[in-house]
Amino acid sequence: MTPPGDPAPAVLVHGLAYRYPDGREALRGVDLAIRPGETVALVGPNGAGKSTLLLHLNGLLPGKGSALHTHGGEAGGKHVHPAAIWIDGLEVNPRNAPEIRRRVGLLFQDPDDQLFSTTVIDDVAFGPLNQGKTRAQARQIAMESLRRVDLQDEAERVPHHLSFGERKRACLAGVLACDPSVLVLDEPTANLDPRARRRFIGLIRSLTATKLLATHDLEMVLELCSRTILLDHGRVVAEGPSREILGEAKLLEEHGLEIPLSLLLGKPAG
Amino acid sequence: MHIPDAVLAPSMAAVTSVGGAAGFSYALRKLEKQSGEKTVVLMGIMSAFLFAAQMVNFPVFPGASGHLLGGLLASVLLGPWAGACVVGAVLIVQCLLFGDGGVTALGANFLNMGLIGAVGGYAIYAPIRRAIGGRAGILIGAMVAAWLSVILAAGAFAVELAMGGRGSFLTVLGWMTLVHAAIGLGEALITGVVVRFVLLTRPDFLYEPEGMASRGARWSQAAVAGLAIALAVAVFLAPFASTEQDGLEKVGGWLGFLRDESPAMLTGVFPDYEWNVLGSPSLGVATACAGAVGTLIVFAVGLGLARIFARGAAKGVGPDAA
Amino acid sequence: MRLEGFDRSAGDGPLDRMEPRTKLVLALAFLIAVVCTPVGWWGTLGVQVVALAAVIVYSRLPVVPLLWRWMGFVPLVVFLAVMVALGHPQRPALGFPSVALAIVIKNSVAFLTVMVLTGVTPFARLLGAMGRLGAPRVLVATLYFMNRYVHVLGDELGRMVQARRSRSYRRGGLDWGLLTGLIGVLFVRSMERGERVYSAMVSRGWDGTLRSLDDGLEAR
Repeated sequence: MTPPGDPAPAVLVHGLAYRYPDGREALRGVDLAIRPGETVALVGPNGAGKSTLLLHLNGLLPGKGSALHTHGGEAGGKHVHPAAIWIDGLEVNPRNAPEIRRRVGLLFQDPDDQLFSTTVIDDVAFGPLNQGKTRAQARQIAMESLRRVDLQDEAERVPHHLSFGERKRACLAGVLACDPSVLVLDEPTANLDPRARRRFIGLIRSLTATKLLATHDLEMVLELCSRTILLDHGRVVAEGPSREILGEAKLLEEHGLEIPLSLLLGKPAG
Repeated sequence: MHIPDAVLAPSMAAVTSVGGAAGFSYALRKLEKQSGEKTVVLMGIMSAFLFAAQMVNFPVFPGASGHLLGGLLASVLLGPWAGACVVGAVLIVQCLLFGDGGVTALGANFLNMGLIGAVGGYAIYAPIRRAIGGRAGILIGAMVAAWLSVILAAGAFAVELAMGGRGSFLTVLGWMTLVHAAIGLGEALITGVVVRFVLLTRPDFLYEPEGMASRGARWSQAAVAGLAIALAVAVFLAPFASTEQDGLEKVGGWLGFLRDESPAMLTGVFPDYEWNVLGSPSLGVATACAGAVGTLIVFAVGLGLARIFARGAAKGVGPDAA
Repeated sequence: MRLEGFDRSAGDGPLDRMEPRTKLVLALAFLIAVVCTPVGWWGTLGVQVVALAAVIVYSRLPVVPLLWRWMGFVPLVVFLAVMVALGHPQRPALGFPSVALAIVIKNSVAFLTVMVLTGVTPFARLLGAMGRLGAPRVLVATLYFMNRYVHVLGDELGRMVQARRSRSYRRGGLDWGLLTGLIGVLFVRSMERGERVYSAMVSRGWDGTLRSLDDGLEAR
């Protein structure tokens, strides 16, 4: 099976359906395509399936089993279509998983889920070490990544002692250190104070990779994303240029969102 | 009860260190087979969980509070070997960072709380769970096993002291059992309520051994099993009541020594009647009674807590099998 | 809170700069010597006490917190010493008070030795040293994760306690039902967090072999 369409999109999702282990339907046939270099927003109410979709993009779902015990064996849920996602033309499946995870960098919402090491530098070096880099190389890459997020002076600090914003940037450094071509960000600005948010938005803008942002921060969408995909009930409800989608009051209201203030006031933020 | 460094005899510390290390590495190997590459992540977080859970202080009476020990809770939630490993990790951290328990006593502490407390406790839990069945079986089994595991761990401590030639076995055992019978009641109650909470909210997180048939609870069997276990505990402890005569003689001998050496100081600190109680045969009787009565109490409370599952099933809220 | 013990970062005393493996081995050797010193060898015990005191002074660790910790440790050890001294083989020869006193001193020296060791060595370094000295990799890695997440879970617990307090109107502490509820919620959240942490690691290319810049934590 080859991906439809000629120039391979950076991300192509075709008819993706997923059911939770408990039987609830999370995704019911999602189709979307993202061109290389594009920055796209994924919006929708809580429970729309955004996070589930993101986890699929680097093969974390459907998982192999639950927690500590794999009793039952069916704990990971089920796909309706066997192959439904391609990254740069490469199909996402268990066999390709290592290469897919190299290409797709996933930033989790809670930095404490991602920062597991006892020092910042150790954590950022984790990805490069997994890619087979030597310790010296990994340390160098990690320092460079920390410099990109302006945390080079905090390299030896303990994650617990960093502020939320700093932890978030440390996580981003950890993802950047893997040198992904596609960046998938889950709620990048959630829980950040205005200054930290501004700084993080600037950082995201400076990255050249293809970006997919799942978020409720519609002002940021207007700033960063040329295109917006609206997801609800596990389906793509609407997609198009961010200004158009985020300007349709009725559509947004139907799906638990509201028009960003800057659009209502008629002057874009930033 | 975390044993510090210089309480056990050096020979006993050496033996228990070797035994504890062997047991721990066996548990780790079993666990790696069970959960594969996720092992270290989940064990690390579960150890952090147990450590945090032990920080929750339960008021006992004004001025005193106790906390969960959690060995049995860990093995009910995670499985016996995972439970033992979590207890071991917590013990190491408590020993190194907080001085709770000695480095040379780590082996003994792990034997008592990890292997006897968590794995041994699980061996008590599993048959009770199977006999009663359903979620009620899990709850009651966990509570009874929690209570007994605390007493067993205390008993193991007494054995370790006695084998090293320190302390009279029966006297230490008697006192440790009596004290820990009370501590164990609290432990059983906390364990029971936490297990019930997990059963009601995320039963899929509870360790489900292979081949454990899930079926509804049999309430009549539950009552019979409770009585049987209480009886067994009493019978098990009863011999100590009769052989306590030896203990009495020994203590009598010591009291002689004590009086010869420094009567003034000691009688000031410890009034005589306490020493008499320490060695009297009534200690053995009290121990056996405490064992039987305690088991019955734990069982009754467990049945009370488990009734929520029966109600749920009757109303058709959820299947009884977890 | 008890979490403070995890939080020691590298100090700048002379012992802080010493190779962690050397410190660990020396501390262990000293501990074993103390434990093996027979009751009644007052001279040897005296030398050990003086040696420990010298190390504490040399380490430049703050003495008062150390003594506070020791004070917390004493009641337990006195209780055990009395119990052990009663049946101790040396008791007829030395007398009960001497035996009990010797046991209390030996335990105190051992306790303070461990406190000094972890006082001059951040826990992560200590783990690295354990790994390089041959402790099982799974154990070292487990402790490594624990060291990190004990803070996260401790904070979570703190927030939950606060949330409950704000909704309860009793003057005293929280009751048993609420407290056990806290532990239950904490367990469920910890399991869920474990899943997410695992996912985040896998998404950065983890294949189950732990690699680290510190070779003590790495698989062999």
